[in-house]
Amino acid sequence: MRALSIAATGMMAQELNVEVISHNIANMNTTGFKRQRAEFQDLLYQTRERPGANTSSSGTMAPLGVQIGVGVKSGSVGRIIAQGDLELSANDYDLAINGRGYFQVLTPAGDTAYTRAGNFAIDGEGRLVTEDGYPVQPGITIPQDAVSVSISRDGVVEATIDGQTEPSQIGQIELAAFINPAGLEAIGDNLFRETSASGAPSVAAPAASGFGSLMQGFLETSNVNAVEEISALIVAQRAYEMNAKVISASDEMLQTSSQLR
Amino acid sequence: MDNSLLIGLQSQRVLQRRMDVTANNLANMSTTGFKADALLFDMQTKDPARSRDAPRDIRFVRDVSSMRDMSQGALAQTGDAFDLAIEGEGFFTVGGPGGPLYTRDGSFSLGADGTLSTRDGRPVLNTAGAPIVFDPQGAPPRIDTDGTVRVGGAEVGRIAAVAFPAPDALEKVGDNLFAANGQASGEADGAIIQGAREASNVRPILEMTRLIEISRAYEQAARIVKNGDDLRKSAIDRLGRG
Repeated sequence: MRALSIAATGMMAQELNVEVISHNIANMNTTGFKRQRAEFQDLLYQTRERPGANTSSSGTMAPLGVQIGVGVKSGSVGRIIAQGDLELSANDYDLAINGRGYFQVLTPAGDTAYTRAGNFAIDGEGRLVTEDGYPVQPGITIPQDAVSVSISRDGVVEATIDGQTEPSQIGQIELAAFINPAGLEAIGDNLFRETSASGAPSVAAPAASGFGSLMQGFLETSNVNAVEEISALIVAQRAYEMNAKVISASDEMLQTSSQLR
Repeated sequence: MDNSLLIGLQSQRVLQRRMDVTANNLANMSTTGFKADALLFDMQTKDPARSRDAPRDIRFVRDVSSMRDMSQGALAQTGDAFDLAIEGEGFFTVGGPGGPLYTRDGSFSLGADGTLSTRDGRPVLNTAGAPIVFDPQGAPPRIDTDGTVRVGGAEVGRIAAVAFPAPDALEKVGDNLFAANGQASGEADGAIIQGAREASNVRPILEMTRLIEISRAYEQAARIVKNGDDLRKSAIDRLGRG
């Protein structure tokens, strides 16, 4: 019976769905996290009678055919690139992007990775780094004797040096934007890597046309909506149960047949 | 006697296929733009295996065609600019290797070169039958209910929903796609909704009741076969004794 394997594909699909939902819920408080969504597609169809097949020699034809599908497959797990809420943190080195774009960071392997998590800090050499100590690109070094640092909407970093009245510019933060940000590959630690699906990055200063602006002292929260995820979880669980019911019903049918003798 | 066996067996075969269709519907409960199928049945009148057996003609059940429930699925808001749903009749046109294919699954995204494409990379076609390419640096597009695509106020093309005279007769080819199967398409009056996608129109309660119905009917069909078998067995027993 095909119904057994069809229901098995349904159960596997819902399992993936639950995995994606649980990953979203687990990252509810991850700065800059973008929720994911499992997409499903129907599998091939076995056509027993083609729609439009001739039913007589005088040219009459079957208006409908008999097509039996063989289940469902997971098409892709897409990322929803919607803006997360901006949360006030009052930390000087916390930056949130309001709009399109990613911060660029240099990984220890020497590659450029991209992130929306702007919870930066200063390392021992005064460089602006991520939580994991990866320097932000282009590099920004805060002078030892800086009293305060301000970062403008368009990414200009200014420091007020002890004894000076005017702040001096010490760097410029640049953002990278992608045509298809959902195509970036997540590599963990809130970082993403460029792929052929995402396209090449275009780099510009924040607040340039097509780019988001920076907000100092804010963090972008995860765009996971708890209510949405929990209701999706309920739906997925029930769908899983229903597919399991199909398996037990098919099993009963086979049992009925095998008990004929 | 053979007749009851054959009728019972045919009924079991058809019920198994109904079960397959129900299983496929339930498996696709979370498939965007999925349309539920159902099997249609017909009676086929045949002469009995032996002409002396009553009744004079016997009727087999036969599945003649699959019917498609083309009703609207629920629209789920996603807020993604490239998620499109059709409210009302119609399909999106996407490019396939052997001519255009049609889909109700509007969870599109942009390819690396800015081409609007389905999740498995097929280009979405506009009314002129060409792919829609967005400027990688441009602002996200606005799509009106009639499918007109605007970027920053300027019209850059139109994604129209197309309709078919007999949507039931479209052939499902998997990957949420339908093939036209020789039907000519016309413009549909369905509205295109941006930022939403159409959920599967499978009604789980209906499918579950169908599931119960099928398994009970299957048991009954099995009983017909068993009764026929018992009858034959006792005939052999009794006649063999004398």
